Amino acid sequence: MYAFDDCTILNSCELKIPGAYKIFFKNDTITSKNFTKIIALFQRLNNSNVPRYRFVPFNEENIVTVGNQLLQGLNVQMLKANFRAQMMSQLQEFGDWIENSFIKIEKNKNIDDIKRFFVDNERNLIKERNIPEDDDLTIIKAYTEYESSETKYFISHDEHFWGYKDLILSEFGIKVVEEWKCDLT
Amino acid sequence: MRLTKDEAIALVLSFSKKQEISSPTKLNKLLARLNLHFIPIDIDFSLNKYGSFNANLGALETTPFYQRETYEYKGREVSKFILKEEGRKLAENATHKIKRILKSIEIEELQEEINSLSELQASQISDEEHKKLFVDVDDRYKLIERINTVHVNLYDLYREMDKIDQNKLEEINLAALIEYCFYLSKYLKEKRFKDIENAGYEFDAYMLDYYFLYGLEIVIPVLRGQLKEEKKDQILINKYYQYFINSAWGKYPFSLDNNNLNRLTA
Repeated sequence: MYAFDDCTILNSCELKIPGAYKIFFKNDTITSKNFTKIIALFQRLNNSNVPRYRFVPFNEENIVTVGNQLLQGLNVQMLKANFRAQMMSQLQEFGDWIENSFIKIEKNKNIDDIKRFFVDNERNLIKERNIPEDDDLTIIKAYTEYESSETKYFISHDEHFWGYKDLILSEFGIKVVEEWKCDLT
Repeated sequence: MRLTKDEAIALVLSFSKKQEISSPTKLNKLLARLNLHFIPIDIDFSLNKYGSFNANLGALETTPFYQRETYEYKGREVSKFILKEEGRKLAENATHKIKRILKSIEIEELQEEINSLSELQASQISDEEHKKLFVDVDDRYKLIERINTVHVNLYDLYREMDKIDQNKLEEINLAALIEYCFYLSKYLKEKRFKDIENAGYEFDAYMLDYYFLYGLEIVIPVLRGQLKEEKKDQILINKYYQYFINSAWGKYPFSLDNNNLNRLTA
C-alpha cells in the first residue's frame, strides 16, 4: 500500500501564474522539482487501481512550508505579498482535490513509545532537527497500526522520515521512499 | 470565492419580502448592494442616473431558479421576479459559500437589510447608495477628501507591513490585503480619479471604482486592528481579501489577472 506525506501531495499541485505576474516567468505554471515523478507514480497507481492513502487531520502549516519552498528564489518585482498569497490560496484550493482522492488514515496521538525510540536512536540530520516532530510520529504510529498484509510504502521529502528509513523499516515495517525517488518504486 | 449571477440573484430573492422583487430596477439595486457587504459577485455595474446599473439584468427571463412575471402597476406593465424551488436550493448553496467570508451575524444583518430594502422604491435605494458612495457632483469634494485620506492611511499601513511575520496563512493574507489596498488606492488617486475635480457626473463609470473606494475606507480600521492582534482573524481578513481580489478578477483594470498591471502600479 502507498501512503503519502501531505507535503508530497501538495508538491503534486501545479500552480497557475496569474496574468499580472506572467512577465516575470518563462512558463505559465510553477511546479515542485519532483512534480513529474509524483504525478508519474499517481498515474501508475491509478492505472493499476491501487488506492492512495494520506493521514488526517491535515496540518495547515504544510501549505505554508510547501508554498515557501515553491516560491524560493523567484524574482517577482511587483505586489510580492499578493503573489505569495495567490500561490498559497491555490495550494489551499488543491485541498478539495486531495479530500476526495486519498483514503484517510487517522493520525494516532499515542506517540510516547515511538518518541522514546527516536530519542534513544537519535541521529544527526542535515536539514532538520534530529528528532522527528510530533506530527511525524503520529503518522508513523497510525501507519504501523493500520492493518494490511501488503508492503507499506510511505513517500515523503521530509528528512525526519528518510533520515531514519532503515530504522523505520526494521522497527515499524514501513518502507520510506524519498520523494525524488518515488517514480522508481 | 465569487457568487455567480444566478447565485447572487437567488440569494437576494431569498432574502427579500415574500421571496420576490417587484421590478428589474430594484433587482439591480439589491444585487449591487452585495458590494457594500463585501460579497464578490460576477455582475458588472456601471453608473447611470439612478446609480448602479447592469443592462443585462433588465432582460432577464425565467430560469429554473426564478420566474419573471408581468403585472400591471399604475396603468403600466411591469415585471417582477419570484424565487422558485430550485432557486431556494441555489440560495442555500450561495449562503453556504458566503459563510467562508461572513460571520453568521453578518449574514443575518445582510438578510435583514435586503428584506427591508426590498420594500422600498428603487429610487429610495439608489438615493441611499449615492450618499454612501459620493457619486453625485455635489458630493465631489467629499469624494476627493475620501481618496486623499484613504491613500495616506493606507500608505502608513503599507509601511508597517514588514512587522507581519507571515508564518501563517492569515498573516500572509493580511500582508497581501494591505499591499493590494495600498496599490489600489494609489491607482484610484493617481489614475482613475486623477481629474475628478473638474469632471461632471460620471455616466457609465465603472461602479467598482466607487465601491472599492468606499470599501477601502471601511477596511482601514480593520487592518489597523489586525496589525496589532497577535492572533489574526482569518475569516475577517479573508472577507476583505476575497472581495477586493475576486471582484476585480477578469473585469477590472487593477486586477491580479491583468497582464498589464505593472503599468498601473508603477
